[in-house]
Amino acid sequence: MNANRIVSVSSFFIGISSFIRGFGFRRLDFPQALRLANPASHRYKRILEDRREEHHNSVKFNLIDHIELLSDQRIVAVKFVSLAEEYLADHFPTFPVLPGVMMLEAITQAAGWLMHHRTGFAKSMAVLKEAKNVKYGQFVAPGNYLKVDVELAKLTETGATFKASGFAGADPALQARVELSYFNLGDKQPELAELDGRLIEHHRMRWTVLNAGRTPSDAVAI
Amino acid sequence: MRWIWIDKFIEFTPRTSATAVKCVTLAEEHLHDLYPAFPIVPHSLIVEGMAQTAGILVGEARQFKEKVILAKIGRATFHRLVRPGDTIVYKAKIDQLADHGASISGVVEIAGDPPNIVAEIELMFSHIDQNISGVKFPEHNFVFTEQFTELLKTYRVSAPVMLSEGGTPPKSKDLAGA
Amino acid sequence: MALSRDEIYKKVQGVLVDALSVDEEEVTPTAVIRDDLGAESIDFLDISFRLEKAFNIKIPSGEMMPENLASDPTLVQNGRLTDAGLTELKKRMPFSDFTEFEKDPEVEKMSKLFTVNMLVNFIESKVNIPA
Repeated sequence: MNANRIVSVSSFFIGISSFIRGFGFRRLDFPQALRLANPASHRYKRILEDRREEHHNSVKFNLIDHIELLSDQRIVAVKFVSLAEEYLADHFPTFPVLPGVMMLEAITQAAGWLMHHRTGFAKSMAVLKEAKNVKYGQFVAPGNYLKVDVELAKLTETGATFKASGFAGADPALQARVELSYFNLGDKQPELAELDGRLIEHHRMRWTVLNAGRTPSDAVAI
Repeated sequence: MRWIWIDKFIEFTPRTSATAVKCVTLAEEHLHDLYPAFPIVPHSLIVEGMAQTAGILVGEARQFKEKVILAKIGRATFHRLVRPGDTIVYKAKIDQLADHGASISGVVEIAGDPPNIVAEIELMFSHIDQNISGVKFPEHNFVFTEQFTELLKTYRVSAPVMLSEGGTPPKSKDLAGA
Repeated sequence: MALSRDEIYKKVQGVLVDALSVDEEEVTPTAVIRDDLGAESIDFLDISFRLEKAFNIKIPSGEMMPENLASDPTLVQNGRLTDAGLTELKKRMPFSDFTEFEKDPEVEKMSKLFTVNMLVNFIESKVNIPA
């Protein structure tokens, strides 16, 4: 690099920092100035990552608000119903109640947490394989809660079967038998194996959020 | 999130059967919540798609005078996952229709050739105003709102709405070579 | 087409196992459909539909499960069946065993009349209609 070039490059950067100083910005050193100007800078990277991770903190299809009891055989979990839930405007207009399939989803998710608890988050996917004789007895209205009591019935090759009952507050609201498929995507398609790690990490994070703010003497007696 | 899990009817034979489709898109917010790295349609929402397809079929059978509510899922068995870009096809048929309620059975497929079976679903609906437990509900039918009755109305209009004057819609192969 | 009581019993048992997710062993002749097998209102409709299909018969609403009794003050008073009510119920449920229920005819105990045996009797009468 010849002397002229060094001079012109240096003066360019001296000029930049003077310019920035002139506008009251804090004094930037050379590496910082370079990072700001470069689109692949770590700050832009962080923003891009945040966008992908953003949904981690805005889970909308989470049907479990609180876990009351958890053992290797059984989980008791609660979903509170609030008028703020968007879909209630359609189900039904003038008569908002928790849709029956959302109660089934609550059971499925509770069973999923039970499997994660039993196995230490061994698998990434916990999906409904079969639901049998799911019967609805009572509506759950806003202001009330759905409590699901899910008991492990039998382990299967691909997951497990459960016997579940649900309560609208204190009143029986539903009964169901479900079978969960609990597996890693990589078990079925090797090229998807790299997703399992990310999914499991996501579940672990959701678990942390679900249990955050709990004290040993959880005051609300349900 | 609107509580509508079917997009359009492609077949509707009153008191007998109905077929509806739902397009799955990455733009659906809730798909990114449970499995962000591998969005799938939650199976409970697939049951709801069948419930809406069949519920309208059962409701229409009594001119939407009854409040048709999902009362029992006899069986819902799933064989594969459903992903963004898939088109779900719900085929429902009425097995039995009575004063107190109805039972239906249906098949869920991914559109294609040959179609791919997603699930078999059996459901029961209750006509809640006819129920014997004595509970009283508001008189107006809150179940069948315009959101659902419009689906049936637009089904009857099968031709596409064209923008250019007269003539038939261009065939896709005419545009491909341009 | 005449069916033996045994054949009817087996089919009714199958229907109850499918509709209620119970084990075959739980479906005994004296099992009470609601109390012992866990049936709820929608299940009675389900059972009715499945029986219609299994035996190729029609079960009009109200025939299997009597309705509108509790709302009639001449038939039910203070949660108990009056004499008129008891007579009416016997008429509508000719296949049930009333010996126990008669002693204390409370509306809440009506479900005990609905047993597997009663169902089999009911089906027998519809399927084996004498020529």
